Amino acid sequence: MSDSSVRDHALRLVRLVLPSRLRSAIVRQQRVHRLQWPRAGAVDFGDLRRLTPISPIFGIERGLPVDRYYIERFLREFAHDVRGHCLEIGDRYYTEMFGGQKVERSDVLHYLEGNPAASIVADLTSAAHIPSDSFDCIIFTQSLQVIYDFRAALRTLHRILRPDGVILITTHGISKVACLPEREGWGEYWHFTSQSLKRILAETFPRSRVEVKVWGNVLAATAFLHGIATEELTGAELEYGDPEFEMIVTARVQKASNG
Amino acid sequence: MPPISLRQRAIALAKLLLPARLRAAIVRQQRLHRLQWPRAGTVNFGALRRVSPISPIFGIDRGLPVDRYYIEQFLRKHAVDITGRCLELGDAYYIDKFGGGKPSRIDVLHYTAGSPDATIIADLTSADHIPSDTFDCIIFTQSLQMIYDFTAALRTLHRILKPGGVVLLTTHGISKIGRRLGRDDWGEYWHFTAQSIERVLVETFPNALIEVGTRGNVLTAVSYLHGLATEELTDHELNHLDPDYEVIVTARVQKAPQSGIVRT
Repeated sequence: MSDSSVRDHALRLVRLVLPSRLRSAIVRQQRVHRLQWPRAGAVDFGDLRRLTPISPIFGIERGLPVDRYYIERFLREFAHDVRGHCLEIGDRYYTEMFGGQKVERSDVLHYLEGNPAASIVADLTSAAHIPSDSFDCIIFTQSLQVIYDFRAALRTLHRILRPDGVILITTHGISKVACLPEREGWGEYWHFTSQSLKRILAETFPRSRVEVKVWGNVLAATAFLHGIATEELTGAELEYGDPEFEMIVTARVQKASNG
Repeated sequence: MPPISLRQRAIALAKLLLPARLRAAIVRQQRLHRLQWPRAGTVNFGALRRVSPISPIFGIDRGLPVDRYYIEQFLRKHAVDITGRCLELGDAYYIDKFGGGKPSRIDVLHYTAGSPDATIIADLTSADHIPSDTFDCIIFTQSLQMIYDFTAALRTLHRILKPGGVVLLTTHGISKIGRRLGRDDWGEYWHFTAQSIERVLVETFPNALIEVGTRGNVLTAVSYLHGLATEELTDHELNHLDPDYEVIVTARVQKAPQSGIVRT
């Protein structure tokens, strides 16, 4: 859980004590008499008063993109799950980074043919050629949002995971749109919330243990939208968790022992 | 189409001319030698260097929230469609504001009982009690993201719309979480993209005329997240369209003029 500011406490108290009509009247007065802090119209945007992002490529030329900071933090927390027979999408970057010696066999799945790193080419929404109960760990980062039929993909992932196997999922909640079918070969369809991810996983991973978490705050989201890198924010700024600002949504799901 | 900046042209050219490996090497050198503008670490965030939003209530204490500006712009553009028998969710605010006296009958749908404005209480994912082919226009703003089974809700909207009738739909792409089941009457599940809205509508409104659009750019996205109001931005800033930053996704959907059943 995040720390709650004094203002959040005050707001909660106001909601509890004052009827909604009175609250609306106060808000109206604030608007009319410009009783805001900072005052409306007086906000200093600094360098951020611009119509184009500071980096159009997520900040990879500036340092570690902010989404990667949260993704790696999540994977580090569950590094002990990255073991045995592992599967990752696109390349084996995180399998190597977090699995190390614990990995016995590493597969890489790609959606399109022609990727030299790929040991499996498959569309996860219809991948009958991947055998069931195959993997101890699947690292599935930033992919769910680019699959239109995400339920079918999750059912496949459930099927190919071994009983007791773990899938580590990350996806974004607040982001610009990065993928277009005519540019990347696939589109981008969904920005999930923790509420939808929980329900979808309950449906597609029956009887499994599901832990969903959210990462980010308004500053981290602003930096990510602009492509400002992790190194440009402080540790405290990155670590502050505001549950209203779900920049990255993560899930660790352990498949039930009896399939 | 929005104007293409010099930087976008340069990047497009670089992608065309330089192999991916060389581009990656350049980016690595930029990172190593801090060849960025503004240089990494020197970005002035002004008053936005804060981990809590400036307004926690979407800016309604400051003026017109940014999402509302885009929603009203979209509805104003299609005001001619707000005619005949109209339906809106929650209240009749936008029917009254943009209908201009054209609506002949107004219905207000609410999900939970107890709203004094409501003429229809229904969960749109299973609303058999609303008759088919009923409405000329449905104003459906900022609701789709809160319906878990959005496909079922859209099928209902298609069913209750008259042949030739129009749904004016808006939903958000980049937003904080506004609703949470347990605290509010409903949850919040989806932030759509123009690509998903288009595919979902093609599936749920067969043979309909579908126009999907987006509004926003990085500045209005950041302003909206902070709860800064429309009045704090210029018209030029608000109206600049960057298709990568989908603050609001809009759709005008006109049901096919003839439904499956021909009455004689």
